[in-house]
Amino acid sequence: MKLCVIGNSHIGAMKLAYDAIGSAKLGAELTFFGARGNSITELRIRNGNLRPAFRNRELRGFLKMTSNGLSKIDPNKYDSFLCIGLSKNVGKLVSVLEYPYSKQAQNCSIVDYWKESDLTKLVRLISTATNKPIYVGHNPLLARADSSAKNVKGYEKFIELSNSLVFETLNAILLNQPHETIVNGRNTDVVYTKGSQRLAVGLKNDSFKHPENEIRHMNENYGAIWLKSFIKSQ
Amino acid sequence: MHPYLKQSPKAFWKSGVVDKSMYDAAEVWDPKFDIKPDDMIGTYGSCFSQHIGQALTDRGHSWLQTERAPFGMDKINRKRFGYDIFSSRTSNIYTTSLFYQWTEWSTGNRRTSDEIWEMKNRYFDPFRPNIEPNGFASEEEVRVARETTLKSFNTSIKKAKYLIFTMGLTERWLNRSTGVEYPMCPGTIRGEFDSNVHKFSNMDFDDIAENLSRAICNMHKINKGLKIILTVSPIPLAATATNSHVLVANTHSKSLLRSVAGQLAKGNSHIDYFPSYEIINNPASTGPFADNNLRSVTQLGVDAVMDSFFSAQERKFGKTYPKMNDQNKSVTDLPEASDDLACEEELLGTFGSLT
Repeated sequence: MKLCVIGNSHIGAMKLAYDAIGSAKLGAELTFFGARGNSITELRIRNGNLRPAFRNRELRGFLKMTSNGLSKIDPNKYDSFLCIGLSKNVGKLVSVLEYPYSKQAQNCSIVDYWKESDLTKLVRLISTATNKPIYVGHNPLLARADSSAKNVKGYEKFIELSNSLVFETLNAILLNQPHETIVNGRNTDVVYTKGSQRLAVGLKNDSFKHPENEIRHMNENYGAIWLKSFIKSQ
Repeated sequence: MHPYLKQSPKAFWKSGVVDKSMYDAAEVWDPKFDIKPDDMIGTYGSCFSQHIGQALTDRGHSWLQTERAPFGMDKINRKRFGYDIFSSRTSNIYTTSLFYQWTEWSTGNRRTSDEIWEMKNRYFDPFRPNIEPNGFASEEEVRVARETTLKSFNTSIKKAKYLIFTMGLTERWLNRSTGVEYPMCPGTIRGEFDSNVHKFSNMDFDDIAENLSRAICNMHKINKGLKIILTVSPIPLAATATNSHVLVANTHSKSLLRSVAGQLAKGNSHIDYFPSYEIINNPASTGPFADNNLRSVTQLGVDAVMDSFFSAQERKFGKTYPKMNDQNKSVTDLPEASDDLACEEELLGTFGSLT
């Protein structure tokens, strides 16, 4: 399988894992296109390819760095697409589903959240360029040191509703974060933040370790678990 | 030398009203309380009060909200679902007796009503008929939502330092057997009207005052230091259920509400009256402050009211509160403030024989 992975800094964990595991062992060939923040959403479609606007040298540089030399995304070269990140605080939506709001209000929150997100913006862009399968991975749930039992029912409901209310209409599939990485029903185990690094995009602070109290970005180990879980499901 | 010679210019119609700009209403209010930016302010009441919370926030004040919309819901939907309008999701509270009812229920003094209306397999709260777009999915959802709001209402009373209550109506609809009061006549927005079940009542001075006093008493049981700021909604009645012309019915209602508010403020150190009614209904200001329907208040009018609120505070207590919105827009540029209101009473105007 040839998979095109597009996203923000959260592709970093997966890229590190992929570089360490290798395509043969993983059973898939991955090409990464990433940029920090939300600048990946500045991609445009020209001649069937996804590429930065002519003057957007910075984004072009980020794409070349993360893809090992490519400055555009040709959908014909890939079997499917995986969009990662661009979706802050999804754990709060899990909390919404566990609070006694009406079902209508909960559904409305999920729809409104995704409607405004850069992740769905990216999905829409890609779906304009290709009919190939699009998979979506949200930002990792925020990290927390918690030894409580995992009760992922709320999280599973969040994934289910996001798909039925939003992603199915976009012909995409929102994937869940592997349950083994989840604590407290809506957080990532803090062990997966240890040693996390900044995505290398061609800037001075490439691969710098995140601060000790980092709760947003995950490490290579997390990336490996996530990728293996995804490839296994294909 | 007679006493009028000693009066300040604000005491005379010519110098206090005619010769003044309608936007200059700083002297209209002599505030009792020194309201600081960190002081928690709760807001409840009729349609006009929906403007107050946001205006407080815009000026850097602490508008207390104890019932928040779910994360992710956008601004338009938050309003549709009754969030971000009052300090909790009570919907409009038009009368002092309805306000008293809320305090009775939220403190547990009186058992909350079980009444729920069903229409086409959706369920509605008679005491907040428009709170949930398209109704709730089940009776249980109605009960849970009501319970959540009652708790939030109670919390807002406990946490507030000031509570601004906007008095709107004297006319009300009651259940003959249970005595509960509905914010709107059953059958207008939701539900079905039954003259055997529902009865009309138009409160007099004593009714209004007694209900408000009891509500304040209930609130003081859970927050001794709570200070009340009363104001009367300048928005006229959409419709009257009396036999009077609506113009007459409106003046009757507003006069009573104004009298009660003034009387209670005069007789109690913990109650103040803020004259939003007078500011909007200033004879010099009927143009730009009133919408085309001669009911709703324009954003210019809302701004004039809130400018007066804060400039009066500044004059007396020496602080400056920035006006956060653009003050340079002309009357034609500003949106109608009424466009944003979630106002059931506004809908009443469409239910008569003349639309």
